[in-house]
Amino acid sequence: MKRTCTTRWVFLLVAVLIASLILPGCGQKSDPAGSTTPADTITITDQMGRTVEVPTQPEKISALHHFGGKIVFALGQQDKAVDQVLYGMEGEAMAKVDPEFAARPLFSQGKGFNVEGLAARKPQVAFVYTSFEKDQMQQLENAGIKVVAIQGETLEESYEAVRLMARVLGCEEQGEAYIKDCQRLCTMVSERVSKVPQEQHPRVMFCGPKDIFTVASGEMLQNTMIEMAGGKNVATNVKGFWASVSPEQVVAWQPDVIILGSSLDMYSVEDVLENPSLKSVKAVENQQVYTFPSNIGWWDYPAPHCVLGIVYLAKTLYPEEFKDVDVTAVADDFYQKYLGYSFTDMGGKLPQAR
Amino acid sequence: MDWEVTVQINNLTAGYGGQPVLYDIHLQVGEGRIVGLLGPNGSGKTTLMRCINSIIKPLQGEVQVRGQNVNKLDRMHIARLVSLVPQKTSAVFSYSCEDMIIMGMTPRLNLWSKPGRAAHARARQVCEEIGIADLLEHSFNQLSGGQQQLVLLARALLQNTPVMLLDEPTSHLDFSNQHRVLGLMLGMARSRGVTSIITLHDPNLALYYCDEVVILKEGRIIAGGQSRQVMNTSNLCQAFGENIEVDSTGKGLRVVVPRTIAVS
Amino acid sequence: MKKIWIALLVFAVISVIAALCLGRYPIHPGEVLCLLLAKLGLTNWLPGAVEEKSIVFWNIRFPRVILSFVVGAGISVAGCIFQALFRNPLAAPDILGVSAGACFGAALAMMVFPQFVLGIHGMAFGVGTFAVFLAFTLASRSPSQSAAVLVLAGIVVAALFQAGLSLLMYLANPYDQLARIVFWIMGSFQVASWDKVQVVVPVLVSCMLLVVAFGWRLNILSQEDEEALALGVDVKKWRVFYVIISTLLVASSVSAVGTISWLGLIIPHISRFLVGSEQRRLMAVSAILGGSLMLLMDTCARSLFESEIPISIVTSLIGAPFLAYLVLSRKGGGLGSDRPN
Repeated sequence: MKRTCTTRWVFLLVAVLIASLILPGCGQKSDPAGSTTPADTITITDQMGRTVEVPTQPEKISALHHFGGKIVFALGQQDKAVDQVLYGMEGEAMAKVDPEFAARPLFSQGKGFNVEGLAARKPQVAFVYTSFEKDQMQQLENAGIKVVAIQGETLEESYEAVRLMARVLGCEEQGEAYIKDCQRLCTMVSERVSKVPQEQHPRVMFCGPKDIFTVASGEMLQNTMIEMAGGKNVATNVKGFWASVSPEQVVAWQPDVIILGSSLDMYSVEDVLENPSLKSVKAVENQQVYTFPSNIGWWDYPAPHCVLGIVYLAKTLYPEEFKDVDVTAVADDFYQKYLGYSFTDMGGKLPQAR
Repeated sequence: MDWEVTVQINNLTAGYGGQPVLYDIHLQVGEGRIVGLLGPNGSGKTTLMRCINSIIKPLQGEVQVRGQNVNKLDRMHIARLVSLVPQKTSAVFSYSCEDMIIMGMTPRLNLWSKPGRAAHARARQVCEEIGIADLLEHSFNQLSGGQQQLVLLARALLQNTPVMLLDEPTSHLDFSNQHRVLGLMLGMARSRGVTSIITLHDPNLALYYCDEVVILKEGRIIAGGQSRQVMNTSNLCQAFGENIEVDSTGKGLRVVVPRTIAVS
Repeated sequence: MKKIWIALLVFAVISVIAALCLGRYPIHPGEVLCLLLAKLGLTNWLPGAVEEKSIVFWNIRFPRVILSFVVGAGISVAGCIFQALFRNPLAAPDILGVSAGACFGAALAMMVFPQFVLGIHGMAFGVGTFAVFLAFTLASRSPSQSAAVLVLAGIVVAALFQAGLSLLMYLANPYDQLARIVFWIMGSFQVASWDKVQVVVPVLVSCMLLVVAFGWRLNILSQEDEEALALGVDVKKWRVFYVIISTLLVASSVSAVGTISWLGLIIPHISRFLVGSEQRRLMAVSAILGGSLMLLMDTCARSLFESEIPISIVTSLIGAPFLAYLVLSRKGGGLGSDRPN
């Protein structure tokens, strides 16, 4: 009686262990041999250093992060997208003006996305941000979708991303044109700003998502934007990402201008102006507190759309030098060219009339 | 092998957290005897019981069951020598009576086995002897106090040990149940020749049901021997500190009563 | 009793079939059959359209079905063990802090070295098991050796790691790391792949078989300590054994798919209602029931809407009302004794 009990268990255990070793063999290789010929694909190295073989001129694509999504639109390839590739406020704004966009499914909610749903649409290439979950990248590849990772923490990086995506999508000319346009705007700003001596550059504090006391550090994109716009980031020596600082530190810094960026709608200009711990700050005294645009998508997210943010900042810091520049008009033009609809048509409104 | 002395306790000093509760206990229990441990609260009855099945390790001295020092044995072996009928058990999860009783087979099982058909048959047999066979399918938690105690008795009997410990098994029962259940328990033990050690706080129960009585006070044995001889007025007064008298009824039955009532 | 077993097995089979046939990637049940038969080598005939579906079916859906069933079973069995060990119908598998530890470990890995995929799962498993070890060590220093002390130690350890987790979440980049951590904590079978299955399934299945094999002892352990000792079971040693096994079960699950709440608490209760408290039976039934229900809930999570719902949301929405029902009705399976104490 006891012997059969033991043997039964041992047998079951061994069976299970063997099964679990065999099972993974059920997995299918995503490229059955002979279905693609070398001429049909190009090999690229993405911004994570991964070598990926992508089909030339893919007909169906997807972008699982708004950075890649915006570039898809900028390159004029939005018709190839199988899902809505714009997210958040931008996605909502686009859905309002473009019914065809609205009709497309949205597979990504927060960090999760539905692999099967996406796979059902059969995209050939998916663009993801380099911070994408490796597990999820693997899932996409398991489903037979090629994954290209991009990132744009600095302007140069984002231009690289544009060139990479343009190469994959076979529209290198559009890519270059887009980059040139962005660079033109940057040059326009830097030319005018360079006329102002360094010592007169206003000190800027760029606040972030959690509360008024979170500031953009010296290592972030916003730092570059401020400097290009002719300002000095008070937190330029701070390390890390969105650093938390004390109210006393803010007072010690005495910024001339406070910009509320990526605030995730947590607080407004009034909140800052009425905050008793900031009463003695220069920017508050002079009412130089501004919300960063825009209501249909933050202009300080990874580049290169952030060039609009740079123009806005420059105009805010130097209203005289940029008197002739109508930021709304610039935005309208930019959005029209690179998103298909003008800024105003999409419901965009700048925080203050500039 | 025929044993004369089943439980032998020598020089036992034991307690909790290094503090002794029992002092220098000497005890000998003969085979098949029913011994009552009597004493007021805090006299060490339960501690002594826990020493016998090695739940408490002694600070000094030793406990032997059938010649083996219980503190040197592993749990399984101890459980084959000594079984326990607890006071009452608070079962959080509801087992059927059959499942409860069959737990008594544990000391004789392999690590990976569970009780088989033979064990279930034996359990059924024990229940029929006790008279609770119709309760087997019932949920343990839904039985009355007395019935639960009988189930616990069946479990201990299934363990088939030479020694059985009963820890105030009927204290929480009503008057008639106390006598009925205790009578049944000790009757079963006697018919199977199981040496039983039972803690009691009611002297009358000790008088009626035990062959021998050991009276404890403040951790020491103040009297021990045949119940008829030990259960006298002076011993009980010394133990319980009350004015107690051992009296006789008209029919010659001895009873233990407080003196205040006896006098009137 | 036999009827219940048959009903359970039928339920399990139906769940598996439903899970294989449902999903956002449209595969007709007939096509599923074709794919299964083809894999078994019983037929070479695959209609053209089915060929391309086989990739998604075998690489995405099939491992997910296996993983969710086995994880559901493992967590349910762990729930049975903890409820028996601690004699507490409200004990959940993370009572000793394994989930809190695992979440902390995963969050740490995500923030400090996000490049290594293995790092996240490995850290989650490592810190999760370490948390239990810490709870044990803490409890062993107490003069009282009862199970209640262990639970208290577990609460302390869980609180510690929860605080650490909150700190990490505060320091995390809200757009990226924070969202990642939160999503991981909520649990998802989304990243089920053959790699995961290969690592997690053998561990879970072996532990479950082991614990069911030694299941009889768990009945004794669920009695009072003194009675268990009197019945010949060395409470201390066996408690360690069962805690190790159930920690392995929970830590493996959590490190693979994140925290899955409520399942480990309610499945043992449902099983107890069906087959009573005998542990061996209870654990076997819980495994099958837990696996099937997990499978069904995961199928809902991935199929109802276009995007995925984190699994803990589904289990909480079902689990919490169910627990309320149990408390209010005080039906079978003993949520507390029926006898007034």
